[in-house]
Amino acid sequence: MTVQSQMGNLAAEARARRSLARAWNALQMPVIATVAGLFVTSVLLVCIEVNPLDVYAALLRGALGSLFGISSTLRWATPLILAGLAVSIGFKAGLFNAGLSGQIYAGGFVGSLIGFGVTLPWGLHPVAAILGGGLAGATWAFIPAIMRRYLGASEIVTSLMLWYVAIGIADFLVRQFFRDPTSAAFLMSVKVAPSAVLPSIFPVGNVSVMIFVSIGAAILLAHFMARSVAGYEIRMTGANPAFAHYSGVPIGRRMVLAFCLSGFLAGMIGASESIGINQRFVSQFDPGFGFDGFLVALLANGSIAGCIPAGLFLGILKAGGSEIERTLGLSKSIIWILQGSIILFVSANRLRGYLAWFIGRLRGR
Amino acid sequence: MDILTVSLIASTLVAATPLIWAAMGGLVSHQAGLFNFTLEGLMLFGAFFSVLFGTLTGNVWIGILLSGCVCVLLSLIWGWIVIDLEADQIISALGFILLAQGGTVFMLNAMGQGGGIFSLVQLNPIKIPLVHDIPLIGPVLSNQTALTYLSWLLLPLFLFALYRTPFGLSLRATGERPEAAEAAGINVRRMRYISVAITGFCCAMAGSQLALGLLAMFTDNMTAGRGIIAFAAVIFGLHRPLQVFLVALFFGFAGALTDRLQGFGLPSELLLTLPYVLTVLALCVAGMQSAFKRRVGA
Repeated sequence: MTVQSQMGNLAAEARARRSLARAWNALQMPVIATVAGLFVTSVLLVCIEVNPLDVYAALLRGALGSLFGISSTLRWATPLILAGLAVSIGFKAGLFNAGLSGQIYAGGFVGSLIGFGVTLPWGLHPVAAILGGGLAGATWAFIPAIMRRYLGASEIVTSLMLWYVAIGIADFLVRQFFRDPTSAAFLMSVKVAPSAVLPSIFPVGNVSVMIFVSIGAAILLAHFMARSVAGYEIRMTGANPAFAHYSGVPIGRRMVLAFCLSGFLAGMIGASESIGINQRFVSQFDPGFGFDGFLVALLANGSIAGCIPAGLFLGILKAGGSEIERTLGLSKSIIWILQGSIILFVSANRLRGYLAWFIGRLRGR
Repeated sequence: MDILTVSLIASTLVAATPLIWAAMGGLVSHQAGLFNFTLEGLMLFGAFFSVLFGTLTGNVWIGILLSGCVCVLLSLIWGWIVIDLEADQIISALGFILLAQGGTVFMLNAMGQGGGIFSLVQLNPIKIPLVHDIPLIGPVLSNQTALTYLSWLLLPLFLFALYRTPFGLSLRATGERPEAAEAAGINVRRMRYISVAITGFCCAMAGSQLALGLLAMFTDNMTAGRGIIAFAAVIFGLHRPLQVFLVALFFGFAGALTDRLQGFGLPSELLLTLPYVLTVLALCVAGMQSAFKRRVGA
């Protein structure tokens, strides 16, 4: 072996070790928070005299143990990956899109509007609906974005408030103009045209081609953020706005771009839920994808591609939740508690320090 | 003044009480420099525990006080996470709200109740003798629960405590310039914990009024976004007691008006968005003012 190749080997080894260390560093907080969340849930389960291990086994069985389980996991992962991406893009630019649900709602409304209001050929109709929904979401995100850019108003509060405004406007329009006359108790629109429906690609369940769109979007965005000029400028804006500004990056425009991109992804979720799952606009159709999006993004811990495994993980929780309900008679609330406690702890960076101190003491004794 | 207006005032006062409690509680955290978004979750916990402890002890006031204590504890846990563990305030607050929604449903199920529990005790309206005899307005003003009267007392209490006592000065200093406050010998960490505890107690009162004042029951997710409206009132009122109080009252009026107009068949959905639209506009105006000041003052 020549000296040169030996040095090359050493360098490669060092690089591998460094990337491993970086991956561990990025995974630390999500793992700690998940363990903390599992701990909180387990304590509660023991309090009501249920074996936590039974619950977690049922959860995995329900999510991965059958074809139906797998398809249901993928069905939930589809919107969750997109939601995680939407939140992550905001984080990259140093923005917090707390009104994700509003953009999802706007996208759902416009997507189903295109679904039942327009006549288009088979292949084109769903594409138009999804893109239209995405544009609606982007428009809804544009308002807080320009308010942040020109007025310095906190995008967190404004986008959150606009969530409720979106619900009000969409519900009003549906009730006034598009209401399904046969629906009595629930507010829902007429059905979308058959040509607009996203078919299921699995023999069972509700998985549509959107799962590939979600994963594709994640890969595309990861590439965009890592390799394109605009992506680099967005990351720079988030990491150090002052530095970016003096380097000649138009930080205001990059912020608006990132926020609208986030809204676009959220709008796509609403549209795909409307034409794929419900096949119409249903009032309050969003079961909290906004919240779930934060959890996905936080577990991915700043990595765009990391949203895929994080989304699948949360999809398992969602799909397994119904199995827990069916077989153990527990309500899904235990899943909310698990999610809530993970979110509660995941940004607590100091926790790492305390744990290290604690472990150090244990070793010292 | 006809009977419709009088009943509108009555329902405004009823709708505004939980908003006032939660918003006034929330502003204390904001004064101490914490962006406290947990109000919705704390209210939900407060409503649940007031029904639970009220029914268990058979006394409505013991129930409400115990619920207040539990909410102070829960609020302090959130405080520990953001103050000592330095977690992101908004993210952890979102987790807290989710935990409240899941936790209350979990406890309902653990007790074998599906959608909700009825309370055996209730907050009864109190008639104030002299006020009650005023024509027209009298019956409206006097037939409220004790928590409603206490919520009105919060305004002078907070104005006095924040602006006329050393404690209030320390609290405001903590929020405005933590470093300066620390240098002046104020224990910033302790002030923040105290402010979070106050928020927890006030939100418990808001939840108790919601659960025991009107219906005497707790249902799954019964706060239905009222905590978010209260948070909007804190932001819209720039976390100053008088402004926040008036805004909460106004949001209560908007809610009552919505119910009324719904009876006439008018679109309630659009009216319900009023508090949120106003908050966005308030942020716009505040932003424009500071942009203007920057340009002029430079």
